[in-house]
Amino acid sequence: MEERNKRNDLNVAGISQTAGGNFHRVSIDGMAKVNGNLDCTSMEVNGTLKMHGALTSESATINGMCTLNGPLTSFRVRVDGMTTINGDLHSPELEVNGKCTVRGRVDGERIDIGGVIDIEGDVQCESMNVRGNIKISGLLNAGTVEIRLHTSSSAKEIGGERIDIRRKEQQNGFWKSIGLGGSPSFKTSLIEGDEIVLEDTEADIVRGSNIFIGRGCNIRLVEYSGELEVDQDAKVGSSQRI
Amino acid sequence: MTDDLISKKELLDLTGISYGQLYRWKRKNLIPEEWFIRKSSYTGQETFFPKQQILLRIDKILNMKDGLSLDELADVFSPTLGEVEMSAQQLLERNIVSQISLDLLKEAGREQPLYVLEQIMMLYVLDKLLMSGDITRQEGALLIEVMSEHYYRFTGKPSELVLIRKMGVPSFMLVTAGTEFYFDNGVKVVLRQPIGTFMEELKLKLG
Repeated sequence: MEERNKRNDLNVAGISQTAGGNFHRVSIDGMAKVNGNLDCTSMEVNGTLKMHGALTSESATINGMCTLNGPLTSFRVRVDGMTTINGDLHSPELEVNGKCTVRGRVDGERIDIGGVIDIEGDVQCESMNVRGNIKISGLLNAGTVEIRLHTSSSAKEIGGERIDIRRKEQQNGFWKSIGLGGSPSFKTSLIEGDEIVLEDTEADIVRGSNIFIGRGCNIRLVEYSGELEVDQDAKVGSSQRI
Repeated sequence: MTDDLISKKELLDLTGISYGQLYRWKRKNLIPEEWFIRKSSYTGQETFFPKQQILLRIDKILNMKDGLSLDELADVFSPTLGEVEMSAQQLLERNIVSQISLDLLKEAGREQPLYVLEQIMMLYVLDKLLMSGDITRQEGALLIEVMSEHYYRFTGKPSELVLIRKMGVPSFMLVTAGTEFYFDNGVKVVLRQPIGTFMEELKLKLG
């Protein structure tokens, strides 16, 4: 931090191209292209940024459009616009209210998704809180997973301590009015956890200790060691106490 | 090969840990990613683990968990070297090595005012093997040589220490963990130990 205070700021207001480097504050209001690695204290993008290299910062806020061809490492990342990261994302705090695509793995502590996120690799975090739309092509490993379904979401596998996937109480406003993304549902092949609560979920296998299978679920096999409760509106192929 | 693997379900049954714990330990890097082996079985994809290693590791985690936080535990299991510097006096006072090993090091001409973790581990290994009667003093000198010359090549990688004897003539080897090797009939493998286990013990002593 001390060392970073001595650095220069980088401001882009028009159209510009730079080679990257070490900066204190970086602010992109116009269109910028960065051909190299960037290390900064804070990064704010209001316009368009295209980067070829790794981005390291203490906080990154993206309101406009951003394409990173490289990994992103930051203490805080907030995406309100559109971001594509062609690499891994490592951030203890990640908040997405816009749209974010990650073509690598995501490591974090707290992940809050209010918008749309599409991740090609695995996700590892302590708490995952979703009030939007997620698609994870790898394993979601989190202490607590809380998902309120708006549209159709999916993950290849979920593992953790507390997993809670339910439909949002009443479907209102934005998502319904634009009719995007289909009806609320969650698709996954495997869910493993200690406490599991599910609604509108389609899964092959669910394993855990205390499991509640709520309305709208379609599960092929449930294995439990504690208690199992199945709603009458749910379909469970077979269940087995282990 | 299948004999050496254990499925996730069997593992949880055997150890009594929950899915939550297993996934938490994975997140904290207490269980290395490469131990999660995905294989297809009749129920679809299943996860398997190397049986010996995972059972040993879980036993250790369960036994040490009370005294240490998960993050501290992760340090113990990581193969990388931390920043430690200790003098011979400190090592003796903290009962990490004995005078005999230090003397041996002095004879080998590798005495230093301060020892970093890598060298402390070498002394620790030497001391343990000498005290347990596995090696002789002469072999100890060989151990010092092979460890000081070549251990750096294995930094951050799992490795094993091997001692062989042929017609009473000893020879030490450092090899990548899990390597297969074969000798002629006259050779006896006296000792084969993963360096990682020494490192884990040592880090607990230091920590």
